[in-house]
Amino acid sequence: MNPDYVASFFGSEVPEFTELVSTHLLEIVDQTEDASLALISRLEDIERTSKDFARELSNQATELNTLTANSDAKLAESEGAFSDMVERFEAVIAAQRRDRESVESILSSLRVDDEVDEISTIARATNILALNTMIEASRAGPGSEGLTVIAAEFRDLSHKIARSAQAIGKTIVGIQTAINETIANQASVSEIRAYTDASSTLREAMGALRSDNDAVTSFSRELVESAQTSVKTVDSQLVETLSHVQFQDRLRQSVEAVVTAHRRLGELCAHAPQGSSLDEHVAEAIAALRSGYVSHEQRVKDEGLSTGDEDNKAGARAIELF
Amino acid sequence: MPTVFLIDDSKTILASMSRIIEKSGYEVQVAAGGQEAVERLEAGLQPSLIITDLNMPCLNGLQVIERARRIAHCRFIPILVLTTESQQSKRDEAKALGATGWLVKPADPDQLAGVLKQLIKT
Repeated sequence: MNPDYVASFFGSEVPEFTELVSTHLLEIVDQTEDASLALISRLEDIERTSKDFARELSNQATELNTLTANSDAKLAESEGAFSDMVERFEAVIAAQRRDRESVESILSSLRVDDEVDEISTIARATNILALNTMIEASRAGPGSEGLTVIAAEFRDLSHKIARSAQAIGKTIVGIQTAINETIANQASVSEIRAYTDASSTLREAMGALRSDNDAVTSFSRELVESAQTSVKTVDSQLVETLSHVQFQDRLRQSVEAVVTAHRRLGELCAHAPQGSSLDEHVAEAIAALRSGYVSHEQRVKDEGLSTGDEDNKAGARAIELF
Repeated sequence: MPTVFLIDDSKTILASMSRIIEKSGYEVQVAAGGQEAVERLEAGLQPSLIITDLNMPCLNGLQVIERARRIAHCRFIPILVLTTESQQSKRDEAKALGATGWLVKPADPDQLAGVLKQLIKT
């Protein structure tokens, strides 16, 4: 091998090569650091978004609970008013029923037809009696004019009594008709039943509304608990991920050890005396690398890390208090 | 709120560890190197606990421990070494200089929280 070529190779090309490799390796480390920082930043964004979402959800649920509570209060108020109304209405219906029974009782006892007939009969009899008296007075001759006048008065009176009796009869019939119409206009049995059915339906609807309110309250409570659990999960996963991001520092230190060894090799080659052995320089570079780099196997051994052994996952010596 | 003083030249470690420690309920002060850390301690910073990296340029973690122990108000502050190093010789050296404990990166968050609670409480 041409000694000039060997000298040029060791003196300039190897140092240039090792410097280039070192620069690239450090750039890779810088890039992984930037990526790690970006990852941490994104994780913080996720955590913030998650917390904001949970807070918003919690606020909405609280508002929903407030609305439900207000609705419950109004429902209770409505139920109270409704019960009061039902009570009053039923009292009115009972009073109506009593009035109807009283009126019907009075009407049944108000049998005036016979009395009117009796008065009419008396009036007719009085009329006949008056006629007979007038006839007898005319037969009696002079001196009975007074009797004739009295008989005429009686006759006139009997006509008036007959007309009055008929008028009383008509008036009473009119009163009975008016009372019957009034009773007919009062709430009928079917109307009362319809009212009762409607009030039952209304009560059921109120009960269903209350049940729905309870369901909404329960649902919103579950929603808040679920959001809180999600936030805790995100929080825990964030911390776990942050701990894994620290591997970037290990990468950096390992690469820095490799770079140091590389640069040492370049330095040795650049200043190597003419005719020295390549093996010697490489051996020294390897020694430099060994002194600054701990292999993964060695690290596992040192830290007590054990693959697949969960109890010894973190290693007894990963944290040690003196 | 107790303060933890975190010293590391890695931005990734400062960002990630700060969040982990804050989530354990502590305030965190950070320094991006040993020199800055010592200057702040000398200026009067009195944290409840110090966590320092080992391999840092200018002033490494062992030098930080040594300098901190010379500052009167830092004499009894617990100091944890947080490092990727795992050799026993380094641990022994840190212990001799006055370190309180040794944490290997990446620190397990639960174990770290337990250690912080133990040291800051006592």
